[in-house]
Amino acid sequence: MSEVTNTNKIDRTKLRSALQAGPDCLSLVELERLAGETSEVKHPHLSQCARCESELAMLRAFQSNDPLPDEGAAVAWITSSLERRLDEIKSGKKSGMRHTAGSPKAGWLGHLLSPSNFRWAMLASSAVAVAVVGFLWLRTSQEPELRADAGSGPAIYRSIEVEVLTQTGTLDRMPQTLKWKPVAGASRYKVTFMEIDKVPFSEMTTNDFSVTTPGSAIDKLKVGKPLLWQVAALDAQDRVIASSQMERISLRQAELH
Amino acid sequence: MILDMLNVELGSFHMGIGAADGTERRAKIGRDMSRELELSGCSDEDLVFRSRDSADSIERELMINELLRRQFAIVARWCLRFTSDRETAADLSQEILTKAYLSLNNFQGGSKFSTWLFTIARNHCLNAARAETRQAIGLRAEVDDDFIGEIPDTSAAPDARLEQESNAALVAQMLSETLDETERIVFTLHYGDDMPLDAISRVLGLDNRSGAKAYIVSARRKLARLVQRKRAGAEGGVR
Repeated sequence: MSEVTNTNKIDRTKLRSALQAGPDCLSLVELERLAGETSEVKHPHLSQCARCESELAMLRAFQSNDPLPDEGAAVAWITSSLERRLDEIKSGKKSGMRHTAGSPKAGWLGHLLSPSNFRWAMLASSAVAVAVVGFLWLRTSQEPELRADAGSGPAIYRSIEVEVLTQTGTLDRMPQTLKWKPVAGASRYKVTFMEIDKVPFSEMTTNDFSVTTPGSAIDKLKVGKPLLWQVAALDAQDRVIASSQMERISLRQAELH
Repeated sequence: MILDMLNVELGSFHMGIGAADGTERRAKIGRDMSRELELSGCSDEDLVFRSRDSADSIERELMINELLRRQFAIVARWCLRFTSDRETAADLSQEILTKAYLSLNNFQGGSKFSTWLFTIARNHCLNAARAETRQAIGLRAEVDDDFIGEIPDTSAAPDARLEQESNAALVAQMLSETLDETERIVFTLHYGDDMPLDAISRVLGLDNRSGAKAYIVSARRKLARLVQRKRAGAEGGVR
């Protein structure tokens, strides 16, 4: 027990050397004999020597003909590969593929460009390139989404526009009547008058193709204060089927004088 | 006897065909077939010695081919357990068989040929694994081996050989006192031969979930406890 009190500690090299075969260890022939034995009685040396136990286990594993569950196909592949290399074996040639001890190991790029992996690397690169190009093409070719209900007004699906006949723009005076062309399928028309900021201040409906300008609109129209109006054609269910442009009317400055 | 009869039968069959060239060629094929049949009945050791003694180069070639082919599967299986990559295993196998072929004259027949081949295969694969280990991530990192520092050294001994022997004896004693058989084997292969844990798992056919690693962890724990016990006992004795 005195050695246990020693404060010096063993290092891994010493452990390795302590685990090597010693002078009392069994010879290969003895191990071979033990490997062939099926007796449960253990050789006395084996119970004291982990090295011989290990050698015996390795020898038994080597001589065993039982393949592991997943290695049958690989063994067959290697066997046929060795059959092709039989002449190389007898000529004493070393295999050229495996990295031998001390040779520098290829980095990830070298591994990627090795003959066995190069084809896969090319395929993977092509797939990535196609995916990137496709993504960019889809992004650029896609038109902006149309939103029919953009804005605060009701949805308008128009194929025709109500064409206004009354002159608009800068006028000497407010027209007394506002006229437009009839729209097929319209049962009536709604005319809306708005401030310049599109806030409506007057609305009227008519079955005709014109309305008399309301007094509120005439009153609101001042120099420097234009107003807007718009006519929408409604069907029998009061759905907007067509609409005019937002018409702008303003008074000419000379009217003041 | 049977082989001689077969040879005669094949010869007479070929003679019956008649044409001179064809007859000769077929007779040769017949001879080769009978030789191969004969070789398949020989032991590995017989093939080695007969190939050495044979003056017929074709016969020698056939014997060597037969001997090597018999080892393909056994060597392939062994190498696959050291590396799960079949290309590398095939290369390792080729290297082992080449070494064996080149050293064939050293085989004295003191053991079975397969045992002799085992020593070549074992050393070759362990060297390859060590080289791989040095290049790749250190396998030692797989298992925390702090406990090594807990194993006492006897370096105070004046004689180096005595020191080594006492170390070996002490380690052997600790292993046999503490560990079960599989733990001892796994420990010895990993720390004594630097054998990778996954290779140990496959060589020993350890089919538990963590394979050899579980045994190493368990061994390490047991050894650390033993060292603590001994240290505590020694300290108690000193007081």
